[in-house]
Amino acid sequence: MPDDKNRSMKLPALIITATLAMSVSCGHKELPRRGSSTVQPETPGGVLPEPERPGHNPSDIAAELNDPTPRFIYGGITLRYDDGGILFTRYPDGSTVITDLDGIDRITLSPGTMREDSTFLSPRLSMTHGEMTIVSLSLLKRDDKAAWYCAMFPDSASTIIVLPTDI
Amino acid sequence: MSRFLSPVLTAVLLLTPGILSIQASGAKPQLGGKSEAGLCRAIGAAYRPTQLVADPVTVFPLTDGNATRTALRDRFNNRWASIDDETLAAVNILPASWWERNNDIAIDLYNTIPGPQEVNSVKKNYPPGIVNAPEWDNGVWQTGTTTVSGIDAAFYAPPEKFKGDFARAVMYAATLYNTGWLASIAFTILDGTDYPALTPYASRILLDWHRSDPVDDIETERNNAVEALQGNRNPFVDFPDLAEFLWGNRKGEPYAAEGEKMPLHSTYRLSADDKIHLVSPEIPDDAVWTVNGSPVSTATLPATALGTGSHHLRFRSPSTGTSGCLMIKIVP
Repeated sequence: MPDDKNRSMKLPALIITATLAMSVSCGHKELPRRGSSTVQPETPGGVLPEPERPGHNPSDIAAELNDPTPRFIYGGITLRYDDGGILFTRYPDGSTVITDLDGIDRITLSPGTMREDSTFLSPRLSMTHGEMTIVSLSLLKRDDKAAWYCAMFPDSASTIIVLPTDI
Repeated sequence: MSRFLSPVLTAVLLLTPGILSIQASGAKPQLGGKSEAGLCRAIGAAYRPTQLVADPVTVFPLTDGNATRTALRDRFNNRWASIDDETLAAVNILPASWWERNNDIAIDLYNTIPGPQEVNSVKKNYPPGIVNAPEWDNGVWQTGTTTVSGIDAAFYAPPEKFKGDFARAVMYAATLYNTGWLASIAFTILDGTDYPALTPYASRILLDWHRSDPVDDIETERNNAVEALQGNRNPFVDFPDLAEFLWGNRKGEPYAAEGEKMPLHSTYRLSADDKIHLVSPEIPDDAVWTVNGSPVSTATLPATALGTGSHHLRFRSPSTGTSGCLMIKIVP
């Protein structure tokens, strides 16, 4: 029976490890607290080693968090406010639509309800050609100009989405 | 028994497996305010067929028939051919064999017209173009060769009377079916990109045909008939000036349909003629605007009033509760 006991102890440990790995994969050191108006960028020292953090390294994250330009860059689509003609529209249900007025690209992010750990329950992301599956969405930082979200995709890729908060 | 279906049978066909439905994705983009690649992609997304007729021959009486549906327009012999003529077949304007992994183009009715079977064997997989050295000629259309960029290439020259129709069909195919695996001969006409989609040779020839043979009632009626079957229209028939915005003398300018206000877009010219209309299909009509932080009371601003540089626009709609922002640029 010792083997069974070991197995039953390993499962929760695995779940906890996986959850931790996902939560730090967009560069979290500490998860921002719900209700805080500003979450400061993390310091690089406390993050996990590179192989455990697909897609980002500490300097990338710091640069991303220091740039408040509203933007979505993923899957071959680049929509940046400062390119011009990129419309950010906020709806009363909390969703934001990013539309390229010169082209056809269109992104809709519906974060859903935020949990206490700054991840979101049932987030939805649709891109120009249809719905995208996202594994998780978390709020990395928010101030009076913008909110930085980290979206994780099933292939372990991730992106930081920056949306305006002052509209 | 005739191979063609009566209108009643065609209506039934629309509900049977003879119609291939196509999955639509997302909202149809508007064309206004878009230019070049954005305009080309928007056309490709907005004008895609929602379904295709598996065997176009069966519906030719509706798309190319006479008033009594007893004869079909044979453009390759400049005549009406009886629908009982067993030699009539489906002829592709751009050869479907160019597309190695897409069969839709073979049955898309905007690329498919009736003609004698002989046409397919004579024109093979040649592109439409100018024929300088005819090898085959029936007095209405020809095949032969032309030297393009120092290379002798085979072409077919469409019937003179329908060159504009053929050009608009090719423009439609180029904007909707411009990517994927293409046979090398396709690159005479298509460049394999989203935009410009047509080679310089093709855009020059097609624009000439498009301008010299403008849209007529025959083509408009065909557009209506095909729309009833496929759920889409050929925009180059409805809005002929689209071709000028994509490849012609208005290339680079944002598109606005005649009589419509130009919707918001990224870049404006510092000119008395260029105005910023605070309208967009994406924004509610009752939006209240600020420009660079100051409220505006007018729906139209001259670009000269703002000056060159970046300008920040924000809106709030009292009726929908939506709000938004965008930046526009005014260039010299």
